[in-house]
Amino acid sequence: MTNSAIRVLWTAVGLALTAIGVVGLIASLGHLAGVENEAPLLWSGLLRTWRDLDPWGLVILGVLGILVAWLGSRLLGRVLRARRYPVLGELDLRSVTGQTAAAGPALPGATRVRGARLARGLERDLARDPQVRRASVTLAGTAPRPELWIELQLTSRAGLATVREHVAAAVERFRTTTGLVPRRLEVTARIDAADPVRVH
Amino acid sequence: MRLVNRLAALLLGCALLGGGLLLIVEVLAVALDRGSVVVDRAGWYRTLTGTRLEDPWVRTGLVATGVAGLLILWGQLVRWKPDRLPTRLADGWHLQRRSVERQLATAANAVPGVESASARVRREGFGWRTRIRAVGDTSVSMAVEFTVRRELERLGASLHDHVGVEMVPSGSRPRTDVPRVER
Repeated sequence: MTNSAIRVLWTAVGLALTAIGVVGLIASLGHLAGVENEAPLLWSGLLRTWRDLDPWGLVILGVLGILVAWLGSRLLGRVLRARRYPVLGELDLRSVTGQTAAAGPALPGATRVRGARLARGLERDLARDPQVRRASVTLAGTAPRPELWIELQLTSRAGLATVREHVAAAVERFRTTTGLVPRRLEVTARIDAADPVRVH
Repeated sequence: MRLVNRLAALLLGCALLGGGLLLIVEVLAVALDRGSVVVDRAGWYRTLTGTRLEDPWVRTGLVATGVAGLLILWGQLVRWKPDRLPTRLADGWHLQRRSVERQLATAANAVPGVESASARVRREGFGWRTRIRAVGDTSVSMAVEFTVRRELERLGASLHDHVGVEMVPSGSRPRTDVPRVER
């Protein structure tokens, strides 16, 4: 789940809580038409409806419980899944060799490469430059529309222009060897501190 | 804020899952004519039929809910510090904000006459807005701005971006909520 999706979720929760507080307070002060502020929290009308519904009231409550528990487990699953973007799983090489493979006689079998292996290769290539301390690559999207998300950790004296050239060359090599043409390239660089300094 | 949001979402997920399971268990207990499992149903019934909407503690609870809702809304709608800043080096290139601030503070700190310096960088349109607070004599302010601008250029920021330098005479301490580098 992305940060912005979680932000939207909490905005909705904040709105709901504010609405409950405001409407409830108005009702509690006796200014809400149709709501008696001297009535108990479980008012007689609700109790009557509950008795009339019997035994379906229980079924409704049970379904509600299942729904809430399902929503909770789904939310947990989505928050715990750390990956922000879908990762290209297995790459069928026929999808990048394209026409030549399709034109010839259909050969049995298929060659598949894991997307993560290709990303590791690019990481090693990127880290060959001494200005790059560490590189982390995520290969996202699909084979026809792959996306590259690169995170670099640079030394403090790194020249960003030369690093950019190095990254461009590495991505070009990646393109040539894998046949994948990145449609989107996102690079986030972090510059490491020069020497041990006190940062507050 | 991003981490707080994520942890709060985890807690919300746990609460929903727990609440839902509890509801299912209690419904099954009622259907099978068993006593309460976790929730004291008779006690809750007595409380809820005996408490009126105008009771002070109900009102307090409603006000607390509204205030909590407003606080959550404020936390989400206020502008957050950016994690990364776009650079003009190439399309799709970004720099981590904290590392840029640390780099600029280190550069300003290296100017002779500066005792300590802190930097704050925010996005402004497509560019950056930099604020430097340095402890030292006001006469070195130009030198600090020159050094910071040179460093910003190296990092791929535009020459036209705003750079504000504030010199604080030594003796009074600079703000502590931004990265600061001391010798």
